[in-house]
Amino acid sequence: MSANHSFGSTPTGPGRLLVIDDNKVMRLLLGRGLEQQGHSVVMAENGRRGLELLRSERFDLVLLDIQMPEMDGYQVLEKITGELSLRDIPVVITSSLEEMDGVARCIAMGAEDYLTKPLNPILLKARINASLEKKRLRDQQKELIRKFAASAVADDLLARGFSLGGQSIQATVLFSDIRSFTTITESLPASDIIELLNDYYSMMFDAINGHGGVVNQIVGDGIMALFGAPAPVENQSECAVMAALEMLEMIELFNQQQAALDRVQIRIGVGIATGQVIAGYTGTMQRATYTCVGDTVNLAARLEAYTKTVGKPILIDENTRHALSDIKVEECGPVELKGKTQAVNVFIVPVDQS
Amino acid sequence: MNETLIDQEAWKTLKSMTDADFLAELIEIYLADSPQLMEQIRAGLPSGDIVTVRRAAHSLKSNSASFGANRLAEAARDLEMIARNNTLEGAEAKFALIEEEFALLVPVLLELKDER
Repeated sequence: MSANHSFGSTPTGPGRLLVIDDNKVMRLLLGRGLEQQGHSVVMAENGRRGLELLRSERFDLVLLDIQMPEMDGYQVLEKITGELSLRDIPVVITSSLEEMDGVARCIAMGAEDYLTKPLNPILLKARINASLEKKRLRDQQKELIRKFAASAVADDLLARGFSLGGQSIQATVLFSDIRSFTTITESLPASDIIELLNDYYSMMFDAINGHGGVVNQIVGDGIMALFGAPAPVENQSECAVMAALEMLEMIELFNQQQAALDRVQIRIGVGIATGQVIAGYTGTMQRATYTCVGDTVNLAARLEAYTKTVGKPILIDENTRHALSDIKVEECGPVELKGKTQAVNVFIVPVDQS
Repeated sequence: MNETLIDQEAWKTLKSMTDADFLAELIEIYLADSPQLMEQIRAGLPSGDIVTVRRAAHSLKSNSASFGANRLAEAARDLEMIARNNTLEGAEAKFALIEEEFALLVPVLLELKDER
């Protein structure tokens, strides 16, 4: 068993495990059994020492005995689940058959699984691997969240956890779209279309994330982003407009490069609206997406569509306009938009802000 | 091997998880630890220290079960259960049984330890 495996790189690869048990025979037995399976094992003889080790070194999983003097398993578990840096480490409780209600309590407190003593090596292997696998999946999910949200937002989400229920909150919604996308890509080979879209996405994501926004949906060439949801953002309206300006700037540079390579150039439209939105998770337990609906969302979408009519790339609503301080804005006047009984005051944000 | 004292299946399992040297080490540790645990019980009984008695009985039970010493494990379990009910009634008798079983187990383990 090479000690030089790169841990955590393969799905059922070996892990770095911590065994906390006050009983020496148990510690050694467990440690040896796990080492035989290719894992790297560190042992701690009490809860205090175990927590010290957890805080100073990286572990993939903890095996925790319930019955220990001074600091029992419950107390250790409480500490682990209570600390942000530790709570994602899976905890497998080792117990005897008589302690099942204790085990149930630990699971309710957040322990991942349990193993009864005396240990069965087959079960030991299966349970540890299952827990390690689940941890890897969770780590991958965290990575994905980081990919699609600015780090401050991601950190906030990961720290606070997602609130599943619906809320009515103030947010700024941004819609963006490529002008005449279908037409311009009609004559392009499939790989070029995908490459173009990916270039577009990465620029838009960059601009949006860089200003504290979160991309909520992508439908073809249409992007919907939120500023202020799921996590609040200071000066959300201004951030959204700054993001839009940066998006336009990036498209401009992109087009210059495309022209030099004799490739297709694109134009985008951006619509921004601020107001109450209904936000929450919709779907099922197995698959849920963060959804934002309401008047504000519809308005932002309509404004984006209206950019075609008015020939200006960035349009914002009145609420957004009122929240801006340093940004130049032109009036567009009242506009009749689909779904709105009254005409809406629309404003143009000129790309040239000098 | 004395079949009544040590459960064959458990012993086989133990052997599969260790090599001869490690197994010898484990036996040594068990033979050293167990008297200490029993001493804790011995001291705890007259002073009514239910918590210590319970913990020591629990550890003794787990360890003995790992070696397949099921009779000893059961006696220790019974003692643990008594202490869990927040009493020490009948504890003395159980402890006497534990000491008896352990005395029988020692030579068997020593023999197994020297087996290569």
